This record gives sequence, C-alpha cells and structure tokens, in this order.
Amino acid sequence: MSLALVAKKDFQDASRSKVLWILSVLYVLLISAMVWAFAEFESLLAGGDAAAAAQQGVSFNLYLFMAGATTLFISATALVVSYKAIAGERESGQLKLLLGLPHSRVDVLLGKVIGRTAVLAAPVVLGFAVALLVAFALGVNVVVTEYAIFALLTVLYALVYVSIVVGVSAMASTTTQATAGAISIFVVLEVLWDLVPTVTLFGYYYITDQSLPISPAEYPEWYYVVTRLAPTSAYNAARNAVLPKSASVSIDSSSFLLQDWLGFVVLGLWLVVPLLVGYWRFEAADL
Amino acid sequence: MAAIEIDRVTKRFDEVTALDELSMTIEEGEVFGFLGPNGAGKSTTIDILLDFVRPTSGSCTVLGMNPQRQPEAVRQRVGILPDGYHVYDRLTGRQHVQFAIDSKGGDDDPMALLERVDIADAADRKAGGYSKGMTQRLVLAMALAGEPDLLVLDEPTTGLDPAGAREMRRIIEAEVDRGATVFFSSHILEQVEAVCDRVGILSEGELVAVDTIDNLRDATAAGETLTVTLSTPASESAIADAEAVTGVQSLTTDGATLTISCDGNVKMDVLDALESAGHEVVDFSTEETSLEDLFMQYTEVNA
Repeated sequence: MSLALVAKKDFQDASRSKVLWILSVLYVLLISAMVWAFAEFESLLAGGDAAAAAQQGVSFNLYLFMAGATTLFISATALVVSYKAIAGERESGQLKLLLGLPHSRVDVLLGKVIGRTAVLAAPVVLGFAVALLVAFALGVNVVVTEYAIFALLTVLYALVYVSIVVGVSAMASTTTQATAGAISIFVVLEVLWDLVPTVTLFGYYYITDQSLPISPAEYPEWYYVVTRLAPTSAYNAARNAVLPKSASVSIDSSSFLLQDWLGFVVLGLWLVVPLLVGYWRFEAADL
Repeated sequence: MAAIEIDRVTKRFDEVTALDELSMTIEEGEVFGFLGPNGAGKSTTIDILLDFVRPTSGSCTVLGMNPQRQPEAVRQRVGILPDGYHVYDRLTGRQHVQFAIDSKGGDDDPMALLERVDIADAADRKAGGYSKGMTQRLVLAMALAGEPDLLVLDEPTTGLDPAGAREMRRIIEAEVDRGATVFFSSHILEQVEAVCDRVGILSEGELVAVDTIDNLRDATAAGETLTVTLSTPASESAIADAEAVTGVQSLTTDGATLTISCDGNVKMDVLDALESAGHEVVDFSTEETSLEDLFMQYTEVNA
C-alpha cells in the first residue's frame, strides 16, 4: 500500500521530466532505425551468405539488433532518471516530506525503484510497439510471443539498472557523491568491465609472445565468464537463453559457467545486492 | 499519557554536540512552544522524534511509541511541518495533499484542507511555482491530513506575513479544540507567547527553562536588569563574587560593562560585592525585565 503510493507519486513526479521525453523520442527513433537496419541487412544476407555467416559461428537476428540500441538507452537513461532518486531528495529536503508521512525507508527505496523503472519502461514499451509496426511494414518476420518475451526481459533489465543506480543513490549523502557514483557506474559497468579483461587478454598474448586467435570465439573461457558478469552482457545471455540464439560472437557454451540461463542469475544479483547495500547505509543514515 | 517524552537524549554529529542529555515531557492536549536561537538544537530534537535522526544516547516516546522502533506508527498519528523541506516542484498542490491523505489512509477532501490554509485557488498549479508562504501553507495542509493526534511544527511561520502568522495561530487553536497536542518550535518569542500553554527554552543543546508563560512572566515581573559600568574590566573573582550574591540569576560581561538579571531588592548587594572585590563603580542603571529579555538572557551564549 505504502510502497505502491510512493511508487505512484514518484512516477508522477519523474515522468514530468523533460529530459526523459527527449531521451524517449530518441529511443523510439533509434530502435525503429535498428529494425530498418536489420531489414536491410537481412535482404543483403539472403540466401547463401547467411549460411556462410552461420558457418563462421555468427548469427544475427532482430533481437540482437534491438538489444544494442536498447542497452545503450537503458543504461544511460537509468542513470539520468535515477541517480538523484534518494540523494537528491535527501539533500533538498523532499525526503522530509516523504518520510514525515507513514512510510518506512524500505518503502521509499523500493517505491523509487518501481517508480523509476515504470518511468523507463514506458518509452521502452512505446519503442517496442513502434518498432513492431516498422518490422511489419518492412516485412520482417516476427514471432509476436518471442517479441513480447523480449520486451518483458528488457523491462527486467531496466529494473536491474534502476536498482543499481538507486542503490548507489541511497549510499550517497549529497548529490555530488551521487553524481560521482552515477559516473562510476557507467564507467565501470559499460566501459571497464569489457576493457580490462580485453587489455589483460591482449597483454597476456603479447607477453607470452603468442598470436591472438583469429576468431574471438577462441578466446579463453575466463574472458567470457568475466565479461558476462556485467548486467548488460547478462541481459544478452539471458536473451539467448529464452529466445533464438543470436550473438556477434558465438562461443562454445557447453561449459557450465557459460550457460546462457546464468544470465538470469547475474541479473538477479545485480537487482538485489546494490539495493541491499544501499538500504543498509540509508537505513542507518541521519537525514 | 504524555504526548512526547524525552529522556536524557544526547546527539553528537562528529565533534559537535547538538543535544546534551535533553529531558522533557509534553502532556496530551497542550500547546508547547519550543524556543531557542537558531542552532540551539530544536530541529535536531524534532528530527529525533520523527526518526529522521538517531540519538547518540537516551530515548524518547511519541504518543507512547518509540520512534526508533515504530517510526511509521508514530508518523501515522503525527502531522509534520518540518524545517528545511522541499516540495515536489512538478506536482500540483492538490496532488501533494492527496498524497498525504492517501499515505495516512484518510478520507479527507483535499480541497477542504487547501481551503483551510487559504490556497484552494492554487490547488491545480505546480507547487514549484508557489511563493515561500504558499509552500508553507501547502505543507501545513499536508500536516493536517488525517486528523493527527500530535502536530509537530518546526518554525511554522517561516515565510508567512503577519496575516499568515495569525491564520496559522487560528489553525493551531482549532486543532487543539479538536483534541490535538501541538508542539512547535520558533526562535521568535511573540509567536510562542500568543498561543502556548507552556514553553521550553533550549540553548546550546540544553533545556534552560520550562514553564508556563504566566509563571515566566511572574518570575520576570519581580526581577530587573541591572547594568553596571566599572572603571576597569571586571576581574574573574569580582564576577564570581557578584554571581554568588543571592537573587542573581545571570550575569554577562562586555568589557567594563556588566549586565545582571536579579531580583528587585539585591542591587545594592551586587554593587557592594563588586566594590569589595576592588572595583570602582562608575555608573549603574536598572530596568524591569521583559519576557523578551528573559529569553535573551537564557539563550545568550556566555563567552
């Protein structure tokens, strides 16, 4: 009851942000463009070329194309919409109005996560709807149930990202700290998480004087295990677990640690752990 | 049962002691004025009662409940006008009040509450565009939602013009008639004087006086303020001697000038004490103490 109220009010407030609307319009355009790009690509690769690509261990489908635009939109927008969710209200004094009413700090934290996820889910659902129409118009073959599952998975990914950002916001006592936290999230999750293993791997081949494998599919297993621990890679793995497999690099997933369904476990951890840490700090804080 | 009971509450922020073993009791149905200069610890006290801030030591109860253990149950029955709040700029006044009503599970009419605080005509405007006084009225309307048993108002007249302050007083009186207890803080004496049954004066985290307005007035009516000018700045021993005179309540120094509040009949004793400590009295005057002076004396920081 209390949770739903906080979430609803938070949605009402945050959804009136102009930045969100601008980002949403960009997303609808971007995702439609990706569907168009896929349609073009599909006609290019029609027939023998597609089979040849599949032979190389590479397979492309519509969801892979959509996922690229979507992860970029969600990670960036989740940060913009949520980084001040707790810290900003704490600094301005809005939290005194909210917590002056009979809401617990857990209600506030979870209400924010739900409210901001709803704010993010609205453009995602709109973008998916528009993209579906574009796909139909361009004659792309879409299985609607698969498409719907992908949309649900994407909302889950948005929820995970918002949880991370709200969790960090709850740890911060000022908006300056929250801003630093948000930038760190982006740099760590979207840049370093791929960059550090890649540099390590290349460095390893260089120092041991070995030549780099021609296909990324032959990179050592640990490389993929590590990179898949990031939420965005986990979302892609989870997508491959429930939808027709599609990735720019097809790796051997017979190893237990590279099972696609583990993507859901990783997403689950990213959903819960930052929130728990954030709650632990927020619960003890003097406002 | 007491509406608020504070038992030896201490709050330290890093090195600063904001509250030092504060104890006080506010009875049900009374209007209690919490007075003190800015920075005395009034807001910290209120923040602890609402569980915004946790005490370093000591405990308190609000309507018989411990706010640290049952914060939501406390806030269910308390209406709050906090200090240093900020409204949701993008939501309307009506949405704010509706949210407060829904949060308390009440069935008040938001427009009726907005009418009570006289901003019904701005109900559907975004609160971000409200003036300071309108915002203060809006948050008061939120505090009134759900007929709270206790109203906690932190500096309620901030941003209100004199007419607004008068309306605030009428609303407080109406709430008390309904049966509510009102606890409000202020650094302005005359606001407290006009509505309060009892006042507590807080200075540097300590309660320096608690009494009814009438008793404080009686205490001060008999007293007076003695200003003494000496030929040289007063020595420590002279100050100690003067303070030791029976009937002297407080003494402050400013160079060679002493300001002493004391009973009406002891001024000669004070002058004698200063002279026998080796000082020459150049000039002295007396003045009857007003409540305002008393407040100043209680809260003045003795350097």
